[in-house]
Amino acid sequence: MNNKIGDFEAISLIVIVTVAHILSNLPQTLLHSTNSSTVLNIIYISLLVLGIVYIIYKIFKKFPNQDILDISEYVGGNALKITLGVAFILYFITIASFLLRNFSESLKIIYFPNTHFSAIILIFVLVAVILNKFGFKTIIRCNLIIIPLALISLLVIFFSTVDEFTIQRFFPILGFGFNETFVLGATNIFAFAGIVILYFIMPVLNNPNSYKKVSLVSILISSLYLLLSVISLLLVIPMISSAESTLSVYLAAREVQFGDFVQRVDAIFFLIWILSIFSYFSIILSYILYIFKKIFKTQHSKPLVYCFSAIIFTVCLMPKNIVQINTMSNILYKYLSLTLVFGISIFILILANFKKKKENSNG
Amino acid sequence: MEKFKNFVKQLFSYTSKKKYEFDLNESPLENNNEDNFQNGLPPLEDTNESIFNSLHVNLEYVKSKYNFLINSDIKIREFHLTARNKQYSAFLLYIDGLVDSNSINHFILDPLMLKNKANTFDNAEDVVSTAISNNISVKRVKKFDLTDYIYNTLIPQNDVKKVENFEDVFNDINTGSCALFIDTLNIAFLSEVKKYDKRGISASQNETVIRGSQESFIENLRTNTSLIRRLVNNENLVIESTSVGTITKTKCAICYINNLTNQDLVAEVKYRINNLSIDYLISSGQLEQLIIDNPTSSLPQLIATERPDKAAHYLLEGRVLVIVNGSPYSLVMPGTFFDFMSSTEDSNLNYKFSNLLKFIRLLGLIISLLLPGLYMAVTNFHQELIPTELLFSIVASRNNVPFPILFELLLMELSLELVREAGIRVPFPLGQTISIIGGLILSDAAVSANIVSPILIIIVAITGLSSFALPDFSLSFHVRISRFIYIFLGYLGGFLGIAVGLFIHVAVLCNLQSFGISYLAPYVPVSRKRGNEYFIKPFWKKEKRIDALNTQRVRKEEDISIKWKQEF
Repeated sequence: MNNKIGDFEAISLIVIVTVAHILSNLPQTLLHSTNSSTVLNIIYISLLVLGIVYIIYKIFKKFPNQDILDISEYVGGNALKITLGVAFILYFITIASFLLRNFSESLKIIYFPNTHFSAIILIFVLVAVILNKFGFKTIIRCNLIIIPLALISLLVIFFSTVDEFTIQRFFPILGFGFNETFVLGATNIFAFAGIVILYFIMPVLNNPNSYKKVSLVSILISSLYLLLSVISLLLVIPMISSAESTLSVYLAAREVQFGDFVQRVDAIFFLIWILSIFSYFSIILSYILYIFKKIFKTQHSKPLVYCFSAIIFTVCLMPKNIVQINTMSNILYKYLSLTLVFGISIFILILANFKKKKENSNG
Repeated sequence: MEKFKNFVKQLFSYTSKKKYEFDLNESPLENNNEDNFQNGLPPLEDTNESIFNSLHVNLEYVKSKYNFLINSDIKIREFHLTARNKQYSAFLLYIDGLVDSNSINHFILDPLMLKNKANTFDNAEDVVSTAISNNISVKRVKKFDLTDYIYNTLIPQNDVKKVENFEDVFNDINTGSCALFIDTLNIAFLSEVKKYDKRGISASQNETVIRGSQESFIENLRTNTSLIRRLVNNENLVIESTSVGTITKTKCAICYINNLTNQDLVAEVKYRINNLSIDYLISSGQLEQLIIDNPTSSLPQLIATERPDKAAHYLLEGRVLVIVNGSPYSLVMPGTFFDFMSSTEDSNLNYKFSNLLKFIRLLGLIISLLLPGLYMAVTNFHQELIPTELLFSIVASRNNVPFPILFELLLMELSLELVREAGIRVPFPLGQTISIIGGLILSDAAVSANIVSPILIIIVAITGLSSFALPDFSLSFHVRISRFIYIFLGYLGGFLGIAVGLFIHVAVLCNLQSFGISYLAPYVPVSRKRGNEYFIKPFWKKEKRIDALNTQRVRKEEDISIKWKQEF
């Protein structure tokens, strides 16, 4: 991945991760944990994440042109680098697989009842393989075109359902209580797990000085869209069951109608969302290859795309039913993100910061 | 008796059937050495031989090389020329039809053959000094050089070259020069006496505009370069000449503005053109296929134009223009996707009018690319998208049609392609008839016969109309091919299939480069200093050149270009 990318490309890389999880059942998961206080909770966690991102920026500033793997090597040698790299690969495989399975199941239920879900998953995997054959730069550029469409689709859903809003659903304003909103609710920062891209983006940025801008803007956009999608769901849909087999955003999209003539436009939204998931999945696959190449110092990583896509395809087939899929794609995503993205990685960064300070003080 | 014998013989004897047979030998050369030339074409017969001193030898050589005995248009005129009152044998070599006979008669043969002041010897002229000693007069005379004498005195032509080898002679003779060989001289004089019939400059046939220039390129290279030079009207316009093709040595002109265009781009264009190992080049279309970044892609990557004003506009934007002798289409490089969606008229009109047209073209692109595929997807997988009343009407119209929608759609699309192809191939007056027969009668008959539904005719007609809105011929072809792919994808997977196609299509566009710049510039990657947006700004607000080109001169206008509006 020697290709440099601009600020817009970098921002869209981070935003697509959040968008993909919004399209999967992220808003529903948030609503289940904090109910009517989700809006407050999102504002709160956005501020928390902005603080975290600022810390990440401050540390990365001391390590120009290095990513988390380089920094982990600096802290704990090759062993830590490989361990962290493998952890990230497993993390990416897991979250991408369950998201893909979740999305494919929804597609199957809504549009392809006679098709086996594995065939749908296979299409996503094949597209990601083809995109990875084109290379990282092409994937980033594709994402740059897809991300505005995805954002527009979420905006359209929000504004088209305004008439259906029941403002009373904002109340009680603290939902399950202060503790659930602000103490336990702090764990909802996992919704911004897209910042994982920030750990790898520094060496590919055209202008490393724009790292701060990229990180802050991407978090702001992500939080805005998270907020809009949660508001749409909270105020339009009376209750979403945890065993709901379709995507939560789709439930809101179903409510969109333009006059009496166009009453169901959800298929058009699905077209855009499919493009977004293609983009997301291609990006994740390319990062898996990048990490593998970096930790094992392989010369060519492109042939490995078949191996990793096969692994992801296999992992996709693991859950047995919709409840398992929902649990995997939401709960597992939450705890894995909290542990790796917001836990271990930040801990390594802080250690690297101390080591650097110590080195500087020793001259 | 004889007749009877012959009759019996013909009746009972066997005579082999005399059949006319012609077979091209698969390997005409006994020593076929083609495979031995791994790194290039096998060389043609060597003509890089030096000119001989003996006129007779030169004559035989030329006759043999030009197959003089069987070539009817090769002319050799043998004569004696007079230089300083001495006579020398000489001959002129030229190709009939490529040269101006009057020029040869009046400016070559007349001064050389007829006795005049120039070619008669004047002793006094060459005496440098005279010394008389013992009643013997000794004169120092200037050394006489026949070559210089003829060059300086006897050929009153503006363009005369002295060449020393036959390759140069043949190259120029083939393009309309005439060569003068003189006995005892191992050089030849080449005079530019070109004159051949060519098409006059006329209005563009395929890129018509209302308010723009009504001139278009023709097949003659020099006329085309003069058209460009007249429009650019600046001494920094460089027109470099190069030739392509081992046999044809087709002249190509590489044009750019020296103090404006990125020199790396110029070097790349020259590098690609100068590294072509081919026998012949006839048109700019062939050259285009040889120098584009991705020859397997169906997307156009270079702008082909027959309009000098469009070419000049691109030159002034910092691009490179290549004109091929014999082709009325010049090539502009690099080309981006949005260039192929632009028309020359855009810059002549008010920007609001142009933007309306551009919006319609964009709509045309989307419709012609996706509409049949989307129709297929919606009718097969996403019926809920169609309003109920319309759905009923579609179902009712298809009641009597026995074929699946895919068959209907392919049938009509293929018919449309047939009508289009037939309309182009037949003579012009018949073209309209074909369109009427194909477009009106055929579709009406197809609906009446319940082969296709009326709604499908509407879909195909709108698609066909939209495809005509695309300003670039090559882009239109790409869309036509892609449309069939989208039809199949829509049939197989509905919107999922369409999404697969769209995503890979976008990836292909993102992956493509034309001479080092992104095909989707200036949008992908995002460029802040844009100068080539799809929707255009007013002419007085187009301050910068396209950022991706990295031109030597970025600005093309001051911030306030309409200075007369400024208050002092």
